[in-house]
Amino acid sequence: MRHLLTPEENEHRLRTRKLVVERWASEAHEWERNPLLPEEVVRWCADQGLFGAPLPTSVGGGGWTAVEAGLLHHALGTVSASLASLVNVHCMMAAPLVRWGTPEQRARVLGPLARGERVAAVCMTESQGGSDLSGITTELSEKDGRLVLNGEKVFITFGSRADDLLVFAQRGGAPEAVLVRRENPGVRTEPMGDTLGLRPAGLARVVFTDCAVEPTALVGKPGFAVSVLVPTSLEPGRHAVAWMALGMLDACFAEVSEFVRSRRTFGQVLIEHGQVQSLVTRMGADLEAARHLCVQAARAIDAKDPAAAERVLLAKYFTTRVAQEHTAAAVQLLASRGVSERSVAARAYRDSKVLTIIEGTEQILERSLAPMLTAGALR
Amino acid sequence: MTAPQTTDEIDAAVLEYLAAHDTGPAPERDDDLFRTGRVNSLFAIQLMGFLESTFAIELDVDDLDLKHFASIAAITEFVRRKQRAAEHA
Repeated sequence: MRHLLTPEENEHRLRTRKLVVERWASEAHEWERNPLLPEEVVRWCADQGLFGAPLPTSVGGGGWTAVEAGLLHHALGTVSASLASLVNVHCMMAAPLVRWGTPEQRARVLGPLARGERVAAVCMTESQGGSDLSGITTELSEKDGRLVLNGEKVFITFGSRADDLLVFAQRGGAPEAVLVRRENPGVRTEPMGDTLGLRPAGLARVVFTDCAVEPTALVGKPGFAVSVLVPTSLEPGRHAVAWMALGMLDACFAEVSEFVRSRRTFGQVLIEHGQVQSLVTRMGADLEAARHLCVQAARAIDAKDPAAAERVLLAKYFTTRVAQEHTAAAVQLLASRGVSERSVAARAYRDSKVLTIIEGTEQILERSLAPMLTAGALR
Repeated sequence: MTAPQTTDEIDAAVLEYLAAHDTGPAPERDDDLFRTGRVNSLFAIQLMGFLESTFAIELDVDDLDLKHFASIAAITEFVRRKQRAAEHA
């Protein structure tokens, strides 16, 4: 990683990794047994300023560059994709407000989020609307002279814990986004139950029943929620997922490397076997390619390059795909050790599959990437 | 690098950007970009990013109005208005 970074960025990488890994790496496997990270972990992220770090200084955030934010998600992903997702969904909720919120909304909502006093989540997915958000049915309507929200969101990451929600809904068929506080009596959440991965990520069903909202809670302009606010949220979200997948793969590769260079079978160290060499070489080569894509995506964001969205798509697509492929290979190589919950590989194997789905499935990304890549080839 | 300022310069830059994202014939200055399918809601955010970086302007919530992006002429007028507002800020 170091060879792709400036000396200052590398300092940041080492500092962030030390902070996160030293504190939590030995405990992360215990989190998997519960549906929500311990509150102590959430408080620690707040105390360390991690919730606000990627947000701009204009709203009280740390003003970290995309490279610095990426390195944070890498460090968090090294330990746990659920831990990284805690910070990610917080920032995904903040991003549309940073960009399209009114000055009043920014001051009222983003200050507490930047300080980590409140934790945020985004409510997009419904049982009949995920990839295609035109299918969402959660509805904003007027009732007795008030705006009310009715509907049900599912698989909301940290929906069990978040204090502030950004909810995507429709009003007379036009998409809208609205801020809702957990204290609102019209909000109810319940855990989604056991899931393949992101087990301690507080995945929840969030139900709105005549949930009253003020007109000042509407974000953006009517009709722009899906076309403008969703991409504003998804771009940093996809960037973060690419980096957390990179962190997971890096951690797996380290675990595998240590094992194949020390374990002996049939009179040889594992790495002397050709089949093992194939698996680890493919893993190491794809890991290196993924590092390049992640760093390039971050640099494009920092440069405000119009091609940043495409770079982010490519980094998310490639890194989650190879993470899924090679975490499976890591479990295979580590064998009984890889099957144990104490291995990094077991958790990464489950979580990497989920990362190929969240913030845009592989198939949804291909709908954008196929025309983009082929048009690029002809330019 | 200074951002394009005149109507002709802005027209040309927008036309070039639209042409690069589409294989069809180049649009006329007053063609309705939505009705001809050149700009759809999914492309709107990319177009906004292009306008911000190319013309050194910043869009905010009050600029979320499709009529600003309805034709090349409308886009150019919108960009010039934002540039003038930035100069006087």
